[in-house]
Amino acid sequence: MGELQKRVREALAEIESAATPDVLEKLRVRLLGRKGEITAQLKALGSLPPGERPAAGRAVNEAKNALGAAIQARKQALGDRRLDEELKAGGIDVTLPGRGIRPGAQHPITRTIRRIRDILTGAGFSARSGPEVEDEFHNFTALNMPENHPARAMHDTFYLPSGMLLRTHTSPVQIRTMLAEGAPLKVISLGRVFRRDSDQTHTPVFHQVEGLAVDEGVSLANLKSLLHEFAERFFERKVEVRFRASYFPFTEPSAEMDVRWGEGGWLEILGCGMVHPEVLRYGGVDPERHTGYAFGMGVERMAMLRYGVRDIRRFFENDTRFLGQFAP
Amino acid sequence: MKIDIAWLREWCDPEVDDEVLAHQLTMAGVEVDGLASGPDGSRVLELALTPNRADCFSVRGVAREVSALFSATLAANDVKAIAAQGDARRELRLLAPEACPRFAGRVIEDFDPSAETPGFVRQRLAAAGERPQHLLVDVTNYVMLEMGQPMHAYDLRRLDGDLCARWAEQGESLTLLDGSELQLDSDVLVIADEKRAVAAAGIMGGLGSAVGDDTSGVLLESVFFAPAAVAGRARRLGLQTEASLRFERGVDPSGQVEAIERATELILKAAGGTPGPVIDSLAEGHLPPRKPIELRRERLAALLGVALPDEDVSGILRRLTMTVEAHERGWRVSPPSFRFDVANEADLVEEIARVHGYENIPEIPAKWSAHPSAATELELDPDRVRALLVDRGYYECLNYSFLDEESHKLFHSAGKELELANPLSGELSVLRRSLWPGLLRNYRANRDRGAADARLFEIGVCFSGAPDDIREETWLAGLLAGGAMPEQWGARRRDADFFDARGDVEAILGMGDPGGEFDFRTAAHPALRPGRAVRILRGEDEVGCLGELHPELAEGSPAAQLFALRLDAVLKSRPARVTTVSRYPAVRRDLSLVVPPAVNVGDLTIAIRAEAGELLREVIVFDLYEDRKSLNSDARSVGLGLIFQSISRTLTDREVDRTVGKVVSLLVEKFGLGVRK
Repeated sequence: MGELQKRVREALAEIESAATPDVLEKLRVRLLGRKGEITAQLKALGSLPPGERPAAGRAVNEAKNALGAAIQARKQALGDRRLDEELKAGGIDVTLPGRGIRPGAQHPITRTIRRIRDILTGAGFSARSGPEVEDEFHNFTALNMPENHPARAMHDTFYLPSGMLLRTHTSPVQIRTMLAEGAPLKVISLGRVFRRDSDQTHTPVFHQVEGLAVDEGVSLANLKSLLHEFAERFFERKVEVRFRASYFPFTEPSAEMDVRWGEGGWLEILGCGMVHPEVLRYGGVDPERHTGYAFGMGVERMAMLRYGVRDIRRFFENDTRFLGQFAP
Repeated sequence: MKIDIAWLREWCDPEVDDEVLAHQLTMAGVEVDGLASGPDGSRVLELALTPNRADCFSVRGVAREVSALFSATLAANDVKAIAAQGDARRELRLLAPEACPRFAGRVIEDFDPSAETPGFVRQRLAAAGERPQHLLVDVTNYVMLEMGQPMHAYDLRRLDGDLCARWAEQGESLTLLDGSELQLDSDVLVIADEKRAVAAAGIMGGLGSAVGDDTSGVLLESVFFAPAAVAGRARRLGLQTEASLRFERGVDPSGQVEAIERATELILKAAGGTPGPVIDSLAEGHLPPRKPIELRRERLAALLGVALPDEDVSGILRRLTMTVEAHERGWRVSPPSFRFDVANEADLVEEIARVHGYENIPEIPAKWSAHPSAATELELDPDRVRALLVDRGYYECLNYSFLDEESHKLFHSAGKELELANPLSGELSVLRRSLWPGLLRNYRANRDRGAADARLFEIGVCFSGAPDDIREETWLAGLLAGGAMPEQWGARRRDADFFDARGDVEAILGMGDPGGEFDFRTAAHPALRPGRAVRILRGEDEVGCLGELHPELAEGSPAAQLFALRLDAVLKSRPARVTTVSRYPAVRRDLSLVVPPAVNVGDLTIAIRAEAGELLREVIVFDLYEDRKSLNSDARSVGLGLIFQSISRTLTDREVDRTVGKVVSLLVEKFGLGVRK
């Protein structure tokens, strides 16, 4: 019996090292074929004494099964390897770049407008728009800036020969919306505004987003809460803000909101306040019943802070090397 | 405005360092732009005052503010009346009392014309950025800085008789101290002697009556003008002065005589002289009315969102030198005469908020009623359109809304330019009627920087109509030039053409209207190449145009494709109304046509659809071949795939063949085409 086991071990080693299906087949015939070694031993069982036959038979059958399984496994492995080699021969250079169109980029300003809009619509505001060519009434008078008001000097205005003007802020939309829809109201106006000014921090065209909430019981405390949260959503981190008293003809009390910026101290990001009763009246809203707050920010300024843009003019040069840095 | 901090601290000296002082002022709305070193080691506070705070346009005014913010003592005003020693006088007449209700003055004679300006006055003027000039001028400037009351000094010898404040005669001329010659309008107020105007009121004195080195007799002037009567004039004349800044925001109508006395004191001390009596012409009925303001406790709490203790409210108001009378519902408050900006309840709320400190008002989220927000399918979000274009390789641009007249004319042969009355430059003088000139400029600029391929778009307002009736419409415009694909190993280089652009346009239009029908009809446009330009229609509605840039406008650069679509048409959308999808197999028949040049493929497909009826589901143009040699003519070989399908049954070959037969006869008989099935 030791002889058979030794033979099986040798045969298994031979099977394992058979390099091709042909070699393996020859091996199978030699071992398990009609005239093969194992087959011969099976046939020889008859010549054993009856008492030894069952044990010997079991041993030979085990040897036969083991070798059969080994040959089958080896055959599978050799077959897999051949398919593998065939497929490998048909391989490609996967390091070549992909084919097709490459995305361009959305402009950082419209992207920033979208983000501001999304944050504020999430807070229940809805967007409104108004004309870019405005009249004095909606741009100034109804915003508590009568003719010769010193605050008009802060708005370098483009005029048309007809006496119309290019709006200097998006605030006229507040008046138009109040007149059209009445209170209560929670709206934002987004869009282009124009001032006669051009240098590293001013372009004659820029963008503003303004918010207006008019309802019963709207307070400065509500405004502070909204804007602080807005700043944290916009910059996507905890930010420290401060509200500093300021002056706008159309709000009172008025404030500017600063955010703590690195080591450099505070940066102003927006103006805000409680809507001036005179402005509510111009908008057809009874200031005794409703109060309101309003806030406004320059989109370019927000984008400059967010993306580290130093010169506002970059936004209007439309250099694809600049634009391409913004993910689509 | 710049002021010497040491001078400020003479008036009010809270026990805090300069930085804290500056910080508190800034937080309370009197913005400190900087703390700088002045001459002689002084420290200078640089203030950026908002237009409402006229009262802070002086050292004393800022000191009042500091006193209120820090609850610190304000130095008493020690100006004393100086008795007349002579009787020289000029009458001061109020001929326009509604504009100038108070006009004070005093003559001083026989002072030393060579006397120098005292050192402390020079030093403080220098700290304020004022150049010391002449004793009399320096003194009036000093008093203005100290008290906020602008003054003027006339050389007595150069005045003819008495003075008056009156409206200018239309066209009246006046030469000012700075040499500028004015032709005045009748809504400008002047100070005049008996012969002529001697000062543009509230702006600047005249050259003819100016003091000089030999002046030994002077008339000091100290006036109150109603802000509305002087506001805007200085800006219109291009002559904003320290005086006009203060007058148009409002000076204290009770401070005129005091300013005269203070100036007298300084002049006498430095140069001696004989003061005459102070003349104080007053039309009391025209002084600004100072009515008490009702401040309601409830209103204050509602606006701030927090109720403040009564004693805090009245304390703040009193620190601001207001007279406060408490009653059941709140307070009756009388602001001091110098607080022009405090006239109603909201003004008082602001005063309390800023002195209490915005940082001390809590953040309280609003309690809104819950309204569902919109999620419309009737209109696309413009950002969806942006995303589509960006994904197709476009860069979004933003251009100014105005451009130069020349560019405008290239794109619009007709239509008057919409000019700005006061453009920044000729380059930016005309409102844009189209987004194309801007995109074309962006394309050229990028090409000059080495980017040969361009896919650019912009969404923005364009203007139309006449100069006195300007209309606005938002457009989406695009430009496509250079390679159809970015340069790559896997796609053969091909210039983008009309059909690339049309594919983008179809994708955009299809977003709001999947399966919608748009007509592309040949059109003429001054900026587009003839034969390669179309108008785009949805039904009867013209939604835009598309074409190749006219070679004359291309300036030798490779062909660029342009499109422009009205944004409202692009965004118009609707919820889908689903039709049943057929469960039966489709049958396809291909036709190979030889199409003469005069026939458009688009017309063929329309005719085929009409002929084949509802079983024809789709027509695909699967091949197009133009080659004069092999076709032996100008004709094109066109491959059409007709796909038939019924909603209710399996089609038989016979009925499809019969329909195709009808289509073929139509093509042969009506269009004269060669057809191979």
